[in-house]
Amino acid sequence: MKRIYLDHNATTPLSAAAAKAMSDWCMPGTIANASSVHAEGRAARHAVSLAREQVAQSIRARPKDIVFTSGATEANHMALGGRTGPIVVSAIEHPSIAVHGEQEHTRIAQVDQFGRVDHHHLNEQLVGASLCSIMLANNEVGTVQNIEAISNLCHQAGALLHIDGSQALGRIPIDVESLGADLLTISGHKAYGPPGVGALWIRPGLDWPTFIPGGHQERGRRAGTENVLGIVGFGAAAATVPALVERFQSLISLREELAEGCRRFWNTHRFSPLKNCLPNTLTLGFPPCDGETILMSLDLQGVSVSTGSACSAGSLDPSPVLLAMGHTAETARTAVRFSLGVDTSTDDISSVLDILERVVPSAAKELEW
Amino acid sequence: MVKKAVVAMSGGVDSSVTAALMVEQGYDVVGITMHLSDEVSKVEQTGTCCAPDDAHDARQVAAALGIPHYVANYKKQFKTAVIDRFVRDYANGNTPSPCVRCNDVLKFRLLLQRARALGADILATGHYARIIDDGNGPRLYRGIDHKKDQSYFLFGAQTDALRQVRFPVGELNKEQVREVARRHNLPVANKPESQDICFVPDGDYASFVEKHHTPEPGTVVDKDGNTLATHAGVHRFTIGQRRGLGLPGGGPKRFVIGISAGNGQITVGGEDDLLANGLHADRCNWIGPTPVEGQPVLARVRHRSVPVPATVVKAGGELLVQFRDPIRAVAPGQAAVLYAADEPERVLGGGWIRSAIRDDVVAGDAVCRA
Repeated sequence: MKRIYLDHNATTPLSAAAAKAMSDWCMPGTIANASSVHAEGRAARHAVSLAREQVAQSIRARPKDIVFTSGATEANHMALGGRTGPIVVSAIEHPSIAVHGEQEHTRIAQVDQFGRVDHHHLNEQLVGASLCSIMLANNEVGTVQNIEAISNLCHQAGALLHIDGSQALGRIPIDVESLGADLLTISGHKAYGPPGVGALWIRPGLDWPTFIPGGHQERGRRAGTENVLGIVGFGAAAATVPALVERFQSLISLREELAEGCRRFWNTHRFSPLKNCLPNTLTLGFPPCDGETILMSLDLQGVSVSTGSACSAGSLDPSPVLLAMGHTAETARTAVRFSLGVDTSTDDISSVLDILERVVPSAAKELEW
Repeated sequence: MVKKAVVAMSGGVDSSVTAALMVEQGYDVVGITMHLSDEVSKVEQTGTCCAPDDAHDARQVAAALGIPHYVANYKKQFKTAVIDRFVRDYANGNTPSPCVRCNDVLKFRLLLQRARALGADILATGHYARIIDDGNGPRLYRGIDHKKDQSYFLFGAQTDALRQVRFPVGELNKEQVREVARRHNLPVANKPESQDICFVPDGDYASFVEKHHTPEPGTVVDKDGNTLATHAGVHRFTIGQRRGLGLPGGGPKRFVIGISAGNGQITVGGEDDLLANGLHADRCNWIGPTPVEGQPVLARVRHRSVPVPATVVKAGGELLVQFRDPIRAVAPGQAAVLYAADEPERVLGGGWIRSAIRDDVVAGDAVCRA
């Protein structure tokens, strides 16, 4: 059975370019300590430097301002742990940001029904704040924030702005300067690179505390022998970002084919916004079906989707993001997220529609007892 | 066409072997682990019933068997149907039987419904019981291994549900089950077992109830109503209990013979006062024909007790039973499960105990004591 993968917001397949770059560093006998002085060390260091340039270029930044991390989660913690004083986060952040929202001195900026940060409410929360963290694009519903305006609010209030761009890299253009960011998180495996590698960009001139002490790596800001294999994969993937962004734009029509096709056979509920949304993301409810049942049914039929962000237990509570957007737990329970990728074809969409048309009525019967 | 079966996989050896046996029987198997409560997974255990274990073990077993596996979230339904009910029962002076509720609502209603929605014909669980259909519809029987028999917990299953349910380990004894696990190299072959209720892994029911309910103190009285001691709440007692009564030592043995949540009184008495001649139960479920008046049966009033000879006085939505010989400590809140006298392996059905009846049972009892 040919599988159809529509869960690109969870992770993207490794691109051919990334796989090739990594294979050079994944051979028997590979020596890859970028800190060593000898020839092998220099070769590894050179590969990391090249990747750093590629990653920097993908967000229009300088290589020296990139800190490689073990992923976006670590980069987010590095950003939010770097300032004392009140922090403001939005109500729809990734758990690695939201967990900071549970601490004292943290304020939550509300979002509207489309997942857009309420700028008026944000402005109130920013009074006296030292740092604000907002995601550029939301992983669960795809909402893209007006970051330029948010940046202005933050800076007027004297707060730094950290942007979680994990879900945006390779999907929509990122330019750290025009966004007005002070810090920005990106991730390898959401942009056709490998998992286990990400980066934090730190604005030039911003003195940021060391996150992991005990080594000179990453200019002393994040100690530990570099993950050369992951970093070169990330770099190779980042080098393709302009092409990815262009291809993602064309996913809008496929996404709308899917949305329209579903609407033809079911009274769907659209959680994703129509405007200011990632081109590939469509979160739909098929009330009264349980999203979990549809996910399982689709998987058994060879289609991979998600009901929201995956949680460690493997089962899902109502999504905090959907609740923050004003949905009831009952409604949030119905959500199914389709996230398309560069290889998604028209045929894939029509196959998925055929399968959905069989699966959804069956899932609806679950609640008839 | 290959039949599809959902297997409820707790991560324990019984349900893992169930999955293996269903694969052997040629079913297209899908494993589902029900995530029931966050309190469940903190302690590694398998239970008397079918305690949900760490989903990790179930995943490993599913991977070893090469079947798809999912963790499904039923926390909200489990809280409403099982935990809240458990707490309310104790607060009302009853002794709950949560495994029965869990089977009735979570397994043979919600999970079966999920299985149907996924296009499965069959739901298999790791219970030690058997279902035999001789053409008149499914009938429920005790598991071959009487030490592991779980038929008591299953009396509430609806006939319609049982048509689609399979209990493959019910045909085996525990050693044979472990043998199957070893044959399939299942990583759970030698897992230990625990006897506790899954959501109270430390067995401290009183503390658990107190987390969800504010207890009211009351008094311990004798049969004549004389106050002997005070207590912290009726949820700390069950019929037949001897310890923790707060009475000075040295006197005659005294047992809890009555619990009254209304006035907070725990009544204590001697061993003879625990004896009941019969019981009154309600919310009955019958698997097959409803027993008739005068029918000889074997009655079981708790999971670990031996079924005793008894006679049906009345059966239907309610149940009145007269024991041949008086039995001790019939506790309201537990299930009364009847087995056929002429076919002691077969479960006729049962109900929830409302009261013990100390005198001879007459048909009017259900009305006047309700």
